[in-house]
Amino acid sequence: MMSRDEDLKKEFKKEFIYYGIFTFIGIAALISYAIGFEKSVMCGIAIGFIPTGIGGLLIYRKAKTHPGLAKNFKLEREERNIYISSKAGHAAFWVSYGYVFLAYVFSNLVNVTMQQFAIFTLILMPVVHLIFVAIYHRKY
Amino acid sequence: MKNKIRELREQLNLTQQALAEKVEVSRQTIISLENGRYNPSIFLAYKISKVFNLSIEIVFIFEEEDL
Repeated sequence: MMSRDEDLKKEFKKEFIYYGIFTFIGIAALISYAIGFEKSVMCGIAIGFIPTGIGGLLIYRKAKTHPGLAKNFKLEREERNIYISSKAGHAAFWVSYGYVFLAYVFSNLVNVTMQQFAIFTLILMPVVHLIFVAIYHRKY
Repeated sequence: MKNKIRELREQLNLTQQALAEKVEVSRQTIISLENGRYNPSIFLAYKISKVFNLSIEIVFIFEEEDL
């Protein structure tokens, strides 16, 4: 069985790769923007992906040399937090499912474009998840 | 599931923070366990029992309704 530290090192490596991919996609979008391909879409992707990717890379790089930061990551991944996050994810999924179902039922009454609906949904889903995380942190 | 964590911790003069560090969880987790709001995994239950040098069934009290 792997020790907790080995697990954590593996997890850090995985996160580092994810953020590397984020940065790569952002840079690819920036290049596409520079050559004039789908400028407005590529601009949005670059603005979102590059800071997230570079920020993540810097944090995980710093965690290698700062035991305090590494300890924080370790505590973030402790079993109670994982339990709460999973439970919140499950609850948030069904709330979001209900929301999409109701949106479909009332689609004739509410006049919104697909783009407006997509933006609202993208904001709503993480907010619902965060609300459930807060509720379960109080409960457990 | 009930447990004797608070009682045993106080007998050993351990703070919640000290116990949390020994079993590699946050202090909040120890508070939740002591209040009976959170049931630990078998791994955490084993680690906690090991700190007190007792077996799991002495530290954690299983009841029919928990099953």
